[in-house]
Amino acid sequence: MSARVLVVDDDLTIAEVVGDYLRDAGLETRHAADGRSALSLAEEWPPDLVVLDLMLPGIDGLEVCKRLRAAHERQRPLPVIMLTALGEEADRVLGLETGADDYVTKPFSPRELALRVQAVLRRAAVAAETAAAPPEPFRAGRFEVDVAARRIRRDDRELVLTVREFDLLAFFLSHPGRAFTRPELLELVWGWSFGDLSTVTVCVRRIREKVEDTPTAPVHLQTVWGVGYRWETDPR
Amino acid sequence: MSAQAQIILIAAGCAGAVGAMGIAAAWLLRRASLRLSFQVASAIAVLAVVAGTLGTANAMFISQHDLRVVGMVCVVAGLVAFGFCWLLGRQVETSSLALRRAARSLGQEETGFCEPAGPMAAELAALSEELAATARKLQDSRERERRAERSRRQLVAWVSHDLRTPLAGLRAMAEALEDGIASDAGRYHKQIRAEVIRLSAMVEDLFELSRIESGTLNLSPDQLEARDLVSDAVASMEPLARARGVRLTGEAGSALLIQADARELSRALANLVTNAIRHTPEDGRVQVTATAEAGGVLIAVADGCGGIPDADLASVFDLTWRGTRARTPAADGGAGLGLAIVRGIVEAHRGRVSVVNAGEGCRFEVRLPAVAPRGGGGSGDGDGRRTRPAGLLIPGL
Repeated sequence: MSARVLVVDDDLTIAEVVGDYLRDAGLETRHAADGRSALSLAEEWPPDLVVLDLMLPGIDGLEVCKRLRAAHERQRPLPVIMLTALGEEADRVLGLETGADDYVTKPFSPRELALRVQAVLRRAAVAAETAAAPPEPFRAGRFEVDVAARRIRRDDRELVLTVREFDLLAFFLSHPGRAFTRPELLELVWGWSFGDLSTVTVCVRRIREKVEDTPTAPVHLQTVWGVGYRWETDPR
Repeated sequence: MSAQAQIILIAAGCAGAVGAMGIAAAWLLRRASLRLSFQVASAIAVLAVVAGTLGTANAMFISQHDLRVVGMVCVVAGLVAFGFCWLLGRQVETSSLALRRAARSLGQEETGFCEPAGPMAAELAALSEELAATARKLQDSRERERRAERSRRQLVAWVSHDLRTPLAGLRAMAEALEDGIASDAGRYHKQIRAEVIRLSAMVEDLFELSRIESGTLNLSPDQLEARDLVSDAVASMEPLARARGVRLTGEAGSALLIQADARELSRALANLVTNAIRHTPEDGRVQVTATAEAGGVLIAVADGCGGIPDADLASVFDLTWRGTRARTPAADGGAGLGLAIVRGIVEAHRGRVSVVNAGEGCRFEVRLPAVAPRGGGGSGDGDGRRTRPAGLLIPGL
C-alpha cells in the first residue's frame, strides 16, 4: 500500500501542484483547505504524513499540528512538514512544542518538497525499526555510549547533555575519523533536509565544552578546515 | 540731635517717600516695556536726589539764591540721567527686537536663521548664542532627515525597478508559453524558475533589512569560536567560488571567542564573502582571516576587486550605495543590500565594520568584542535559542 499524504493549504494552486508531484512520486494524497476540515479528514482517512501550511484560516497550522499529533499518538509519531512564509519563526515551527519534522519556506520548489516528503517517510520507517530494536551500548576510548538509556559517560562520569547535544555526540562517537559537512550533520542528526546551518556550529561548540579538556584547543571534536567537523576517539 | 543727624533724617525721609513711589511704580510697570522701565528708574533716581536736597535745604534755611542754584544743578543732572537712560533703554529695546526677529526666523526653512547683528548686552548676547546653536542643531537634524528620506526614496525606486525587471520577463515568458509560440519552452521554464529564485532572494534581503532598521532583529547570542565561523563560511561558499574560478582560502587562530548570534553573524560573513567572490575576477583570490587584536577579534575578508575609489569608501555600507555593476543585480544575488545588512548585523553585535583598499582589491574588516572563555563541563541550555546575559561580554579583554 502506498503511503498517504494529507496536504493542508488554503492556496488551491499550491495544493494542486504539490498533490500532482506527490501522486507522481507514487503517494496517495488528499487535500484540505483549512484546519477544521484537515482534522476531520485525518480522522476518517489517517495519513502517514501531513504537509501543513502554517497560515491557515480558522485554526492556525501550529494548533492543527498539535491536535493531529495528539489524535495520532496512540499509534506512532505522525511526521509533519510545515510550509511557512518568509519571516515566520522557523525556530518556533521546529521547536519542541510542535516538533515539525521539516519545513520549507514559501515560495518553494514543489520538486524539492516531494523529495523531502519521501525522505521524511523513509526516516520515519527507519525510526520505527530502531525503536523496536535499539542499538547495543558501546565503548569508544574514554567514552561509553548507551543510546537506549540516552546516556554518555566520559571517564566513568556521566555527561549532562541536551537532546540535540546527545544526538550529535552519539553520532560522532559511532562515526569516528570521518569528516562531515554541516548540511550532512543537519540531515543525519537533526533530520532536517534544510535549515539553519549555524545550529550545528553552536551545538559543536557546546559539546566541546563538555568533552574537551581545553575546549578552545579541541582534540576529539575537530574543525576540518573549510569542510566541517570530525571526531577523533583516540587523538595522538 | 546733631545737625548732621538731622540732615540725614530729613534727606532719608524725602528720598524714602520718592523710593516708596518708585516701588509702587515698579510693581505697576512689571509688564511694561524695558524702555519705559528704564526711564521711570532714572526719574525715580533723580527725583530722590532732588527731593532729598530740597527737603534738607528748606529745613536748613539756605538762601533762596543757593536753593535755586542747587535746584538748577539737580534739574540738569536729572536731564542728563534721563537722556542716558533713554539711550540705554533704546539699545536694549533694539537688541530685544533683533532677538525676537531671530527667534521668529528659527526653524523657518525658506529664510534660514537670521543671526541678530550689532553689539548687545552680555546676557542678551548669550541668549542670541543659544538661539544660534539651536538653529544649527535644527538644521543638522533636518539635513539628516532629508538625507534619510532621499536614500529611502532612492531605495524604493531602485527596488521597484529591480523587482519590475524580472517581473516583465516572467510575464512575457508566461504569455509566450500560454500562446504556444515559445520556440524553446524548456529554456523558458528554467529561466522562469531562476527569476523567481532571484525575486525571492531580493524579498528576503528587504525583509532582513526592515528587521534591522526597525530594531526587531532578535539576537540569540552564544559563545562561538571565530575559527569555526570562518571555516564554516569557507565551506559553504566554496562551491560559488569554484564556479566562478576564484580561489577561496581561510585562516584563523584558535581560542578567539566571541559572543554572537550564530545565524545572523554567519549571514553577515556569508554576505561579505559572496560580495568578495562576485567582484573578484577569475583566477583571483579571496581570503578570510580571523585574528586577535586589542579588545576583540578581527575578521577580515580580502578580495581582488581592484579597489574601491577613495571617495566611495565611506559610503560602501550605506543603503543606497551600489558598485559599478550594481544597476543590474547579479542573477544569483539579492536586492544589492548585502553590505547594508552586514553593517546592521555587526552593529547589533556591538561591533564595527569598515573597508580599506589593500593589495589587489579591498579588505572588509569586522571587529567584534572578545569574551572570556566559559569553564568546561557546564550544563547546556537547549539548542541555542535562549539569550545569554550580555554581561558575559568583556570588551577590555
